[in-house]
Amino acid sequence: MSEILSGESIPVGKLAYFRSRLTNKIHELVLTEFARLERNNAISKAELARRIGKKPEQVTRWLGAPGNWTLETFSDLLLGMKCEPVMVVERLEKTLAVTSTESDTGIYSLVAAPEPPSPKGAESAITAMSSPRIAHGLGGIEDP
Amino acid sequence: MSIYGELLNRVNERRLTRLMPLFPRVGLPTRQIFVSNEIEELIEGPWHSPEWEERCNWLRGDLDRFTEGGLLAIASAPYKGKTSYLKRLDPADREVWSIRSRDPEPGIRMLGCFAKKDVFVALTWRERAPLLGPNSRGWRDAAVSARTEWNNLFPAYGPLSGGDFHDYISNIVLV
Repeated sequence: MSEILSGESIPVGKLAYFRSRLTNKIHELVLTEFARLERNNAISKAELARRIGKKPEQVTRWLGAPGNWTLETFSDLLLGMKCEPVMVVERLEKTLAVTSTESDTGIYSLVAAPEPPSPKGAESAITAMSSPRIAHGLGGIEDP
Repeated sequence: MSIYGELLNRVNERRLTRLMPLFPRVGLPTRQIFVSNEIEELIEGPWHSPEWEERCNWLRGDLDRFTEGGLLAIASAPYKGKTSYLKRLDPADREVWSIRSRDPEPGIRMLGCFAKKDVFVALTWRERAPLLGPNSRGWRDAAVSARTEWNNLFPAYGPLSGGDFHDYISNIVLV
């Protein structure tokens, strides 16, 4: 990750990794909110589909995976659940220690700094959207 | 010895590697993935083209979603949930699962088995398109290959076999 923090040209692989990461975060945010509402009988896939003018099977596909999502999809699904996202941008160097380590399994990983305090009023969306940072021992393997 | 002890033996023998999330969440990760050497090569490179490097790093992001412990969509039946993250292949008693990295093209499927709850062993991978339809020979051969690989790694243990999807993995939604 050093090339990202140092200002060097970012390799295509790293660009792809972070695109995937953001896509998955956004999908998880929507899926989490839908699951919460559905659990409380506050919405169904059919109801969500009706509200945003889509077929239920399309909504089912969207909730399964973020494959063909656009920003419009993101907006529509949240709005259909009477929500909109709260967003905060964080600088990577603030939350990540640059030190890389080798775990004893040989996979490259990072050690990050403790989680910084999050801004007030941004709890629900941010909690779901940007996962809390770190800090477990990367060297050990534990039986869950 | 427990199945987890056997897993660690395979790691020590360098036949499996534990995939750590690049950005682990607070506390211990709730799920773990161990990957075979062929999958480690896919993820770690070197890759034959920039396009493939891009695709495989996208896949790495998808796999980190599993190990970071976030909410996942699971197919409730073998031929349902076409866009789900994870699906158990038919027949269910073979206990072979597919992690589905659908985008960007080409779609990739990681086939493997659960060793225990929240511990997935990714054994083989395939590009999606050549597998063809759900009952194709390609799918069957891929699933048999994954199960054979499991049997080679863990001759004394079968994969986890549960009565309910929540027996396999935590924090899921069925689609």
